[in-house]
Amino acid sequence: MRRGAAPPHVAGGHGGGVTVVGAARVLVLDERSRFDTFVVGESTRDAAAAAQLVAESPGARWNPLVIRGGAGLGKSHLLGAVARRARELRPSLHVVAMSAAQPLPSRAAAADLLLVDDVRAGLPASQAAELRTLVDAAIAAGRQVVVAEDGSAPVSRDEASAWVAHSPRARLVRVGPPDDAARRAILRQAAEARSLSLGTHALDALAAERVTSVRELLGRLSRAGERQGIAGAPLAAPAAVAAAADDDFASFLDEVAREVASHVEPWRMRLGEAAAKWRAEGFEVAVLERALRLAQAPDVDALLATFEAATARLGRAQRRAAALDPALATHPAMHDPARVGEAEALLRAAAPRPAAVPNGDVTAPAAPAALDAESWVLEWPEVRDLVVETWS
Amino acid sequence: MPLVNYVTREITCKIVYYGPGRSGKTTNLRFIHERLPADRAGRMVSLATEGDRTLFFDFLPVDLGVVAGFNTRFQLYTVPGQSYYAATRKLVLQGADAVVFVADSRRRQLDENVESFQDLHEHLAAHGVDPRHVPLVLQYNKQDLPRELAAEPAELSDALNFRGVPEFAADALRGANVFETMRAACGAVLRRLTSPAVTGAA
Repeated sequence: MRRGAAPPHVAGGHGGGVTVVGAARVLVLDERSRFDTFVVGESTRDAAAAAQLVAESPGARWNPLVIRGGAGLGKSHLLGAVARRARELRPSLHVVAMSAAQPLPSRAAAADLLLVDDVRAGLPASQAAELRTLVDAAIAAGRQVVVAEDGSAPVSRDEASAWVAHSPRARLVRVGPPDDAARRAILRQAAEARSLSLGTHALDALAAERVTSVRELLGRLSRAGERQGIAGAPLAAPAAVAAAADDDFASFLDEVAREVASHVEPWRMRLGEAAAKWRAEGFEVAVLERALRLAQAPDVDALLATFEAATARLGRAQRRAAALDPALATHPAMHDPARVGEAEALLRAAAPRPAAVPNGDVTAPAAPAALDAESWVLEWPEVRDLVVETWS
Repeated sequence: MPLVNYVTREITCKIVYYGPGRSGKTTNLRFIHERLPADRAGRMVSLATEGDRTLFFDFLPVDLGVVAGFNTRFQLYTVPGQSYYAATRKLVLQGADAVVFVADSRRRQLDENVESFQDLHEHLAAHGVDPRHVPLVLQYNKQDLPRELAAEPAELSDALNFRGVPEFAADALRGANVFETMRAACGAVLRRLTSPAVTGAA
């Protein structure tokens, strides 16, 4: 389960139902995502109206409907509201809600209403192509598609997203940061829902501050509410604003930084840095990784010196191998300092044999026995006076 | 165990919010989600029924960015508190680096708290983990309720905190001590980074 993705969830019956995938499940199963809880402001009016229209008449008007805007401005809320409203009116409707950031669900193709969240620039090309195919097929089959696309930059009509350009019945609507009246309405609604007894003046003072997202606004409300709870008395407007502006996240970060700095061990940092460096240069670093897992610090200087010497020898071996046989230069042993002996043995085997002298003897020195790489690794890093025969 | 990767310079920790149904675990995560800057908290994944109880689990990824040279991530989970979701609880608990036990302060819920706490210990043991070795933080939620309804923190402490772990009297709906609880859990996890067993290399 650890660090894994959540499996799809299916709810409902009568041939219909709701399929939600991964992060998209918050859209349609969070009961707070409804049209009557979506505060409509100037910056969201068109989007809310269009979303309600497609929820009540799927496939009849705009298809796809693309809701575009920055993070925390209500796109996901509208997707959830569409799902909920559409299912209220047509319980047998099969709704699929998915995140573009996750693999496409197999049930998506059969959806009556397809909700796609988290569409953004920078999706892997193959994933974007699959998504496009899925959406095109759904539209061709007369199924309603609603897309939430992340993007805060202004978009002109001519620059409208590719989704819109692709379909003649598409419509792009944008959501923007809440204006003063919307901020006030959002704060009042949230305060009531949370039983926060902040006074009207305090709420108005909070609403007067511009924010870039609704989430930020609600965070400010939370901080003010918390401060009032501690104070045990209604906050005056200036105190509410001051409390809302407190950045306890910064102090949390400081605390984490202190803990990390005081509990990571310098010798592990050195080994980690070395491993990252050599790995980036194409060398196998299993030896260093094993040393990182030791309970006690090894002789890091000796370990790194030995490792570096081995990489130098491998570098020479790689150059010679490339001249002899390019395929040999790619042999795993040529990149593993723990197998430097093996790499050099391979090189010797590949080298042209010298001409025999008249008495029939071979002039080259006898090849040294191959190093027992496995035992070398097992001994590491205690092996200090590692003797590896060289051959040049 | 927290994973600190010295090669890729990453620290990843999993913190599980455990407790009986309706104790306020999801409310904790929602509050944290709101309090974090938008660029640090990922989408909070939540599966809730119409009754607003967690059916499967909540998941909130918190990316702190580069902290002291490490890309640091906390992953916050909740478990479903209802007794019949024992299998889900056990699954979510797997690999937990720390546990926040959210107790419901309502007096009539005391038995539920104790039962859930025992359930936690049993699941940890089933995973082969000695519960005494897992960082634990206790939160006594709903302390905003009238005293005739809510038990005193000291009473709850007597019933649950026999290990003497950090404990917080909280009001998750309004956020009192929610962030502090999470901070305590994160700190407890980070203080274990020196343990050789927690270091990863690949």
